Amino acid sequence: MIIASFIGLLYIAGFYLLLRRSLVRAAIGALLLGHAANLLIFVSGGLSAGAPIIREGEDSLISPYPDPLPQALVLTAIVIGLGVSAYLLALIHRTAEIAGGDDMDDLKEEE
Amino acid sequence: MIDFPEISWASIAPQTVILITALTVLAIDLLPRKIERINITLTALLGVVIALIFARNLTPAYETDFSGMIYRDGVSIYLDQLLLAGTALILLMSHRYAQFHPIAYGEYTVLLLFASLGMMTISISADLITLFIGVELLSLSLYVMSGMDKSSLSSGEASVKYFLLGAFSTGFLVYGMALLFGACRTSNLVLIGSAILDGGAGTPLLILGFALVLVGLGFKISLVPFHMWAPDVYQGAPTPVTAWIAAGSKIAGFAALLRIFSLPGISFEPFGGYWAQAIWWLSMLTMIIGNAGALVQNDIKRMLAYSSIAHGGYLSMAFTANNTVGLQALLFYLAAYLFMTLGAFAVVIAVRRNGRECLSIPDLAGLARQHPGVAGLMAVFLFSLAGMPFTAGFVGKLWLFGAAIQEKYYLLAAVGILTTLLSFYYYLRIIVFMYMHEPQKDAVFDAVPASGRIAAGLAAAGVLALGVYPNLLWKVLAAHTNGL
Amino acid sequence: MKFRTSCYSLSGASAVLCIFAIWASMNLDAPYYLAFDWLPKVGLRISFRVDSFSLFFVTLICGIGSLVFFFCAGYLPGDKSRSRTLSILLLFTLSMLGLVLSDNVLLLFIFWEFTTITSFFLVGAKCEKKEAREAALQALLVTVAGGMALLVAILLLFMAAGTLELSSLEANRQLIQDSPLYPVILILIAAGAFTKSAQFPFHFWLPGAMTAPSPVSAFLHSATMVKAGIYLLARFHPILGETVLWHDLLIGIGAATMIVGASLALARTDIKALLAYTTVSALGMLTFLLGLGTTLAMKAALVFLLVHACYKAALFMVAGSIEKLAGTRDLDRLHSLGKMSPALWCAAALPALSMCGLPPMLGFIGKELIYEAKLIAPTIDELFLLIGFTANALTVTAALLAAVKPFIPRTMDSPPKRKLTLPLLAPPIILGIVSLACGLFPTWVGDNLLEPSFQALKGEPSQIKLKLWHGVNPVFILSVLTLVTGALIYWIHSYFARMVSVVERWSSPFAPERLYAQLVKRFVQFASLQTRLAQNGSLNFYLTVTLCFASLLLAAAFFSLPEKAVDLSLLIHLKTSLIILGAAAAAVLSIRAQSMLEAVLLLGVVGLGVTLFFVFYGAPDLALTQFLVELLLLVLIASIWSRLPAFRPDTPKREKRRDLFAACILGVFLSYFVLQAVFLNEHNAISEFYAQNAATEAFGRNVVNVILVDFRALDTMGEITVLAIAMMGIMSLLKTRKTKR
Repeated sequence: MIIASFIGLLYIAGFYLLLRRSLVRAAIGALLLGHAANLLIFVSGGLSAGAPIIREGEDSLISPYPDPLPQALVLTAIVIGLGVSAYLLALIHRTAEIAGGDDMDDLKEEE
Repeated sequence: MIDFPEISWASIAPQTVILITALTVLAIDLLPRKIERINITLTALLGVVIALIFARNLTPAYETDFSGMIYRDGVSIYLDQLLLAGTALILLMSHRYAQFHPIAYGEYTVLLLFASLGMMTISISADLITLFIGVELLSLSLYVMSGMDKSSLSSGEASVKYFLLGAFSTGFLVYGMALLFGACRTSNLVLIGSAILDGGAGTPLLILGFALVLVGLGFKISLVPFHMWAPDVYQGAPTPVTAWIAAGSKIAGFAALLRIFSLPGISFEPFGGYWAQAIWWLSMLTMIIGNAGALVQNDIKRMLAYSSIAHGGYLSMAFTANNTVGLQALLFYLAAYLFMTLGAFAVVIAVRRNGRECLSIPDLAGLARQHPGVAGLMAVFLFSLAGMPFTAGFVGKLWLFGAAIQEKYYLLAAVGILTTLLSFYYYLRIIVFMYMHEPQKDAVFDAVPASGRIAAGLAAAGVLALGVYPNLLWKVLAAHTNGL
Repeated sequence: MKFRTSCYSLSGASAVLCIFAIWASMNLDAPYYLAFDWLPKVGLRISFRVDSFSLFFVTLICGIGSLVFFFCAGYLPGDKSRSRTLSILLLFTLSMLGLVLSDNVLLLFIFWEFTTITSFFLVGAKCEKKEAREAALQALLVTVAGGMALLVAILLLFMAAGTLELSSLEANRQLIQDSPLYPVILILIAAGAFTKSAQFPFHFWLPGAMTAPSPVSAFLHSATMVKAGIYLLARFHPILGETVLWHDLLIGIGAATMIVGASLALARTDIKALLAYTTVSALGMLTFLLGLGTTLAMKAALVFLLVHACYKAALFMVAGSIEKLAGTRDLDRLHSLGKMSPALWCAAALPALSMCGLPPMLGFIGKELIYEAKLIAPTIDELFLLIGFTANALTVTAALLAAVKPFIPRTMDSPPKRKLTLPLLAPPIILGIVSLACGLFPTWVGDNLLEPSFQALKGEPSQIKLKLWHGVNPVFILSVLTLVTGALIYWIHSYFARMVSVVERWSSPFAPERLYAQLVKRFVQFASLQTRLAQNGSLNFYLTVTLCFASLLLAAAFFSLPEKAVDLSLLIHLKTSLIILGAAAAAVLSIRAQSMLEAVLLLGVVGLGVTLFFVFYGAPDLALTQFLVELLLLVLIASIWSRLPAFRPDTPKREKRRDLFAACILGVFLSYFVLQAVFLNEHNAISEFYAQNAATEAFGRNVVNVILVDFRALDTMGEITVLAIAMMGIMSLLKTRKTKR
C-alpha cells in the first residue's frame, strides 16, 4: 500500500513538474517519472526477502527468492534511463544557450 | 566442454549486418583523415544491400528464439525488407541534403543506421523488453538526428519538442508494459498470449496495460490525439530526417502494434470489443483531423506531416477490422506508404530553387516547365497519396476499406472515403502549382543531381509497380501472413 | 509542322478505330470477353467485355475524337502548352475507351477516375487564368465526390452479389434487388452518374469547365465524358432498374435538370456557356429517358445520344472557330459573321438544324422518338410532358441564339472576309453532314448501329424501326409546336433572359454552386481554426492534452473494473516505510523547490530512497546500479551547473493548480492500478526457468547477471547501443557550442 502510494506520489510530482514551463523542472519531473516506472516494474514482480543469487554448492535458487526477471528488466531500464537523462541534460544545456532561457514557450516559432 | 545452445544466428543476420555497418561507418568517421561524403554513403549503402540480401533469404520460423526474445516470422522478414529499402532511399536523399546543410555526416549516417536497427529490432521482437529497447534505439537516434542541422534554430526546437513529448509517451509505454508484466507475470509476448487464452490473468489490468501501450505507440504513429508533435517536428527537422520519421518511425510503430496485438496465440476474444472500439475512435479522429489539418497548410513539410497523420488513420483501420484481409491490407499499405512518402520527400529534397530549399507550396510554381521529369514523379507520389488508380495508394486504400466494410464498419469506411476526397484537394493543390502556375519572378530551379533522381525514381517505380501489378506483393504477403 | 502531323495521325488512327468499331458492331454476334486476374483478393480483375453497346460508345468516342484531333491542328497552334494538351487528350481518349469496355466495375471505376483527372488538367489548360484553375478544381472535386460514392457502391455491390463483373451482376439481379443494401447502392451509383453527367443539383461544374479550350469542350464536355454517367446508368439499368426508386429518382432528377439547364442557357451571353447549359439540359433528357426505362425510351435515348454528340461537338468547334475569327465569344458583340466567313455559317447551320429537330436531320428523328416515348409511357404525369416540351422549345431558341444570331448582320457595312483554315472548318461540317446523312438513311443507322447496341444492353430486340416520316400524328404536331414556340421565344428572348436572370439572382443564395462554395469555405475555416487551436506550437499545451487524454483513458478503465476492493494488508517493514516516507517527502518538496540546488538535492534524496528500497527487497544489483547512475547524473549536472539557466519564478497560480489537479488524478489512478498489479503475485514458469537453469546452463550464480549477459544478451546489446546513441547525441550537442564560440 505504502509503496503503491509512493509510486503514485512520484507520478504526481513527475507529471506536475513535467507540465511546468521551465525546462529544468520538466527534466526533474522526467527523472522522477523514471524512478516511478522502475519501481513499478520491480514491485510488479512481487516483493520478497533474499537475493536471487545461487549459493555455493547449490544448483538453483532456494525459495523464497525474489523474481530475478523483473530485476533484470529494471536494470535495463535504469541504464537506458541514464542515457536518456544525460541526453536530456545536454539538450537543456544547448537550448538554454540558443534560446537564452529555459521557458518552453519561448521555443514557439514566431508566426 | 561447454555445449553451446543452438542459436539460429541467421535469423538476426540483417540486424547484425546493420550493426556492423554502423560501427564500420563510425570507425571510418573517426579516422583522422577527412573522409569524402560519398565514401560514407557508399559504405552504408553496401551494408544495407547486404542486409537486404540476408533478409531476402531468410525462411520464416514460427517459434520464438534467443530465449524467447525474437520471433522471426514472415511478417518480420517482410517488414525488415521494407525498412531496409527505406533506409537505402533515405541514404540517397541524405547524401544530397548534406551537401547544403551543415550536418556531421558521419555521425548522422551512424545514427540513421541505428534508427533502422531499432526499427528492425521492433519487427523481430517477441518480448516486451526487446520491443522497448527497439523503441528506445529508434527514438533516441531520431531525437538526435532531428536536431542535427546546426544552421537552423527550428531544427533545435524540433529536437526538444520531439524529445520531451517522446520521452513522455515512452513513459506511458513503459507503464503499460509494466502492467502487462504484472498481469501476466511474463514479458514474453507469446506467453502473454497464452496467459490471456487461459483467462487466468486479470483482464482489467490487461486492458489497461494494452491501452497504455497503445498511447505510447500512438505517439509513434501520431494517432490523434497523440499527434501534436508531428507538424512542428516535421517542419523543423532536417528534411531527410523528417522523411524517416514519417516513413520509418511510422512503419516501426505499426510493426510494434502488429507484434503486440497479432502474434500467434494472442487472442483478443476476452476484450476484442474494447480494442476494436478504441482504435475505431482513434482512427476516425485521425482521419478527420489529419486531413482537415493538411487542407490549410502552406508549408510542404507541414502538409506532409498532416498527410502522414491522416495515413496513420487509414492504416489503423486494419486493426479495427482485425481480420486477415485487414492485416494483409495493412502490410501492403505500409509498403505503398513507404514508397510514396519517401518519394515525395525525395523530390522536396532534390528540388532547390536559387540555391535554397523549396519549403512552401507556392515555391514549386512552374516546376513542370523547368523540370518536367521531377514534377512528373512528384505528381505520381501525390496521386498515390490521394489514392488514384494505378498507383499503390489506390490498391492499398481499396484493400483497407474493403476490410473495414467486410467487418461491417460502414461509418469508418465512409469517413475514410470522404476524407480521401478531401485529400484530393490539398494534394492537387501542389500539382496545380507545379503545372498550372507560372514560375515566380527570377526563380530558377537548380539542376537535380543523380542521387535525387535515383531516389525519387526508385520510389516511383515502387509506387507504380505496386499500383499496376499488386499481385507482385500479394504473393509475398500471402506466403508471409499464413502464420497469422 | 511537327505538332500538326501528330494531330493528323491521331485523327487518322481514331477514324480507323471508329470504322472498325462500326464494322465490329455489325458483325458481332455475342459479346467478346477478355480477362486477366489483377488482385482477385479485392475483386479486382482486368476484364473487358466487347458488346455492341460498348462498341456504340467506342464509335462515338473515336468518331468525335478523330474530328477533335483534326480540329486541334487548327485550333491549338500558338498555345504554349499545346503538346501537353494533345497528349492529355490522347490519354483521355484511352481512358474513355477503357471505361466503356471494362466488364469489371472496379476497373470501370478506375478509368472513370482517370477521365476525371484528365478532364481536370484539360480544364486547367489555360492555367495562367485564375478562373481556369478554380474551375478545374471545382469540376474535379464535384466529380471525384461522385466517384467516391461510386466506389462505396461498388464495395457494397461486392458484398451483396459477391462479384464485380457486370455480366455476372446482371445474372444476380434478383439477389441485388432483394438485398437490404439495394436503395443505398442505387442512390450511390446514381450520385456518381449524376455528378459526372452534370445533373441538377451538381450541374454547375460543367459551365464552369468551359474555360477549357474549345476542342476539349467539344470532346469531353459535350460528346463523351459527360456521357459516362449516362453509360453507367444504362449499364446498370438491367441490374438495378425497373424499380419504383429507380424510376422516381431518375425521372425526377432528369426532368429538373432538363428544365433548369434549358432556362439558364438563355440567360448566357457567352456562346460556350450557353451551349454548356443546353448540354446539361440534354443530359437531363437522357437521364429522364433511362428513368422511364421502356423499350421505346431506351431506344430514343440511344438515338438521342448519337444526335446530341454530333450536333453539340460540332457547335462547340464552331464556337472555337468563332473565337478565332472574331476574338470574342460574347453573343452581344458578335454579328455579321456570315459575311466574314460563309463557310463557317454553313458549318454552324447544319448542326443547329439538327439541334432544333428539323427534318431531314437526325435530330428530328430523335425528337420524334422522345415525344413518342413520353406519350405512350404508362406511368408519367402530364407535368413531365410539359417540362419536356418547354425544355425542347428552349433548346430550339438556344440553337438559334448560338448558331444563327452571330451570323446575321446587324449593320449595313460588310466586314472584310477572312479565311479560316481547313482544320477549323472541316470537322463541324463533317459532323453536320453525318447528322444529315443519318437523317436521310435512318434505317441503315438504326439496323447496323443502334439496334445491335440496344440488343446488347437489354438482351432482346426492340422491334422499333427508325423512320424519317411517320405521318401527321400527335407526335409530329408536338414537334412542330416545339419549333414554333422555340422561334417565338427567340423573338422575345431578351425579355426571357432578363426574367431568368431575375429569378437566378433571387434564388442565388440557394444555388448549388453557392452551397458548394460555402461548403468549401466553411471547411477550410474549420480546418484552419482547428489547426490554430490545436497546433499553437506550445509544448506545454501538447503535454497537457496528451496527459488529459491518458487520464480519460485510465478513468474509463477504472470505472469498467469489476472488482474494486483491494486487500490493503500488505506487510511492510518499518525501516522500508521510513525510507519510503523520506523519499516521498523529498518528491513532494521537489515540486515546490525554488532553486536549482534545492531541486537537484531533493532529486538525489529520492534516488537514494529508491536505492535503499532495492537493497531491502533483495536486489543488490539494482541498488548498486541505481546508486552509480545517481552519482553519474549528479556529476553531469554539476559539470554543466554554471551553464544551466537560472530557475525563474514559475507560472501563474491558476495554471499551477490546474496542472496539479490533472497530475493528481492521473497519479491516483496509476497508484490504484499499481496496487492491482502487486496483488497478482504468482511465480511463473519463465522466472523459474531462469532460477533453475542459470547455474547449470550458463554457469553463473547471480541470476540477474546471468539473465542480462546470457539469456537476454541481445537486449543488453541493444541497451549498450542506446547508450552509444545518447553519447553521440551529447557529443553532437556539445560540438555546437564549440563552433558557436
